[in-house]
Amino acid sequence: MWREALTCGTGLCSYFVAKTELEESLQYMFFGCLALNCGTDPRSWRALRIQKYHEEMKPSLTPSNAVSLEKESVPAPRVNSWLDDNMLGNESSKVNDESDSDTEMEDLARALSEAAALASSSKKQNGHKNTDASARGTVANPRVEDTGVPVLPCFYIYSPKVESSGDMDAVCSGYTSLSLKNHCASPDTEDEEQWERETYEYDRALGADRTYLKFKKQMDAHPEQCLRYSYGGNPLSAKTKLAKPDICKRCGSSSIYEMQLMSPLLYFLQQAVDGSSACSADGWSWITLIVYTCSRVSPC
Amino acid sequence: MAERGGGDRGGFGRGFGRGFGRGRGDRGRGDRGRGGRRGGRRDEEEKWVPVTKLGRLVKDGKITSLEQIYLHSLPVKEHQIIDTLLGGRLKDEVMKIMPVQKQTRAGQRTRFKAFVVVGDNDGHVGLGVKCAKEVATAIRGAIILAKLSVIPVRRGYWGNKIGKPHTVPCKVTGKCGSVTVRMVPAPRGAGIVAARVPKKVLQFAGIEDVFTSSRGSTKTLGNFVKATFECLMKTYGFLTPDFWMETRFSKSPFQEYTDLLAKPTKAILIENTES
Repeated sequence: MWREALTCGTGLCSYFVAKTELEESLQYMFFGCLALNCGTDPRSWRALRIQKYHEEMKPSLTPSNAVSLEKESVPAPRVNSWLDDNMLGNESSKVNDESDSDTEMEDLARALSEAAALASSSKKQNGHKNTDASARGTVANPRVEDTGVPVLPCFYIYSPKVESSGDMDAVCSGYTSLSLKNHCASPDTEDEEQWERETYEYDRALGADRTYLKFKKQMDAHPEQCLRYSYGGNPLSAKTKLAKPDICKRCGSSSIYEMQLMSPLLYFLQQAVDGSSACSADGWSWITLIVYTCSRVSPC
Repeated sequence: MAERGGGDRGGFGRGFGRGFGRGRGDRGRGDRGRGGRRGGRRDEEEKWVPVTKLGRLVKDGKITSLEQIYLHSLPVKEHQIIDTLLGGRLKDEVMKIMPVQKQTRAGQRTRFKAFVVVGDNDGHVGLGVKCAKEVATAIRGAIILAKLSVIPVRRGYWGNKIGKPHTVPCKVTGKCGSVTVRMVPAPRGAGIVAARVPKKVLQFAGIEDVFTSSRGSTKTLGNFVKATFECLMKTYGFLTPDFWMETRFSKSPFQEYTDLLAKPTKAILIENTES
């Protein structure tokens, strides 16, 4: 998969990693290019899913096909970008052919997971994997790393209980229908105002269509959600037409939806990055990043 | 909190019952609607996490007026943007709640359709229509939709250009369904010469004097109100000699406020050496 790494025309210099631990054995990493124009290109994003075996403590990799990118109305330039990882002072790895890439990836993964183990020693393990409902990740508090390389700050993410909305509305519906029944027989004495012949109308606003309004309603219910996880479920999309996911490049089977990153993540990152001048995430302007993974159960 | 919400809405519902009993108590319904709503919503409105890039710019304070958004025709996708920019000046009023019914096998399913107009009485107006199963949901949704549809209204003079603009700049017409509404500039002091329903929209827009004439089945007041709104949208779409000057383009807020990447610290180029 890394053979398709392409260079970014402007010369990239930083990256973005988000790690969440929904299970003990699963880690996700998202890589994106911070160059100005590359943030809007779907091909400039890669996701990596690291799954630990339980028998042996060696991590193995399941590269997930990142990403269907839903962007705003910023036009996507035709620049392909790649990302580099120099987090622990590793030299940039030139990924040439397949034989090299596997070993290098494992080295990378081992190093990263060691760093993750160090970093996550005090992290609260609150997640649980839901296959039916989506868990909403909320940002707790930021922690800025201070290394020499341009790194975006790290955050803790926890998933709160999803409470069901709608019970309050059910309580109130009784009142309104009651009052309506009492008075629907009253005659209309004024002729000039007889709002007549209205039918059901779907939501419409000047800049937003129905799909987006439904998306926004979900966002407003939990304004700080950064992550939605639902293996095999349906993504919450803001546009009517979603691009179809590619097939898995390793085994050729189809991809299914696993999780999506949401815009509050961008907002919190940008708020945290505001102080430092090393890198800025302003080039990113997506609404959601959808991650698809290989549908085969065993890692391919 | 649940009881408070229930109590609020219970009072709300009863208020609506009285409104229906009065027949055409639109204004009463509107006031009660506003009061009942403000009760439990304060804390949720405070934490707004913007979803769109425009929202982030507005929250950071980089965009200070709606006019910057209109200048570049950026779609407004979050109603909190309008809240932040127009703030307390924006007033809303429920024009009508009506039940719409759909015949199903198990009887009739009734939903409520709410028409809400928002405006600051000074050049910005928005209209929202929302159907929902409960009245409160419909009103809340309609207010949000109205805020998303806020448009600028151009005002001009009838004759002498003294004082502030008070009427439409030219004759404009808007159409929705079979209803067409035509607005004609009027001299100062004429007031808004229109039916009661579009008059409300025009008052929210900040137009002081105008002559209107309508055509078509204006009994379908939903279409009537939408036709008036369309008409107001066209005021800025009409090319007049003041716009003949060559446009001086300015940077869109997206370009202006994107920090260019600082000098790259360690630029590493990876070549694709796949043979």
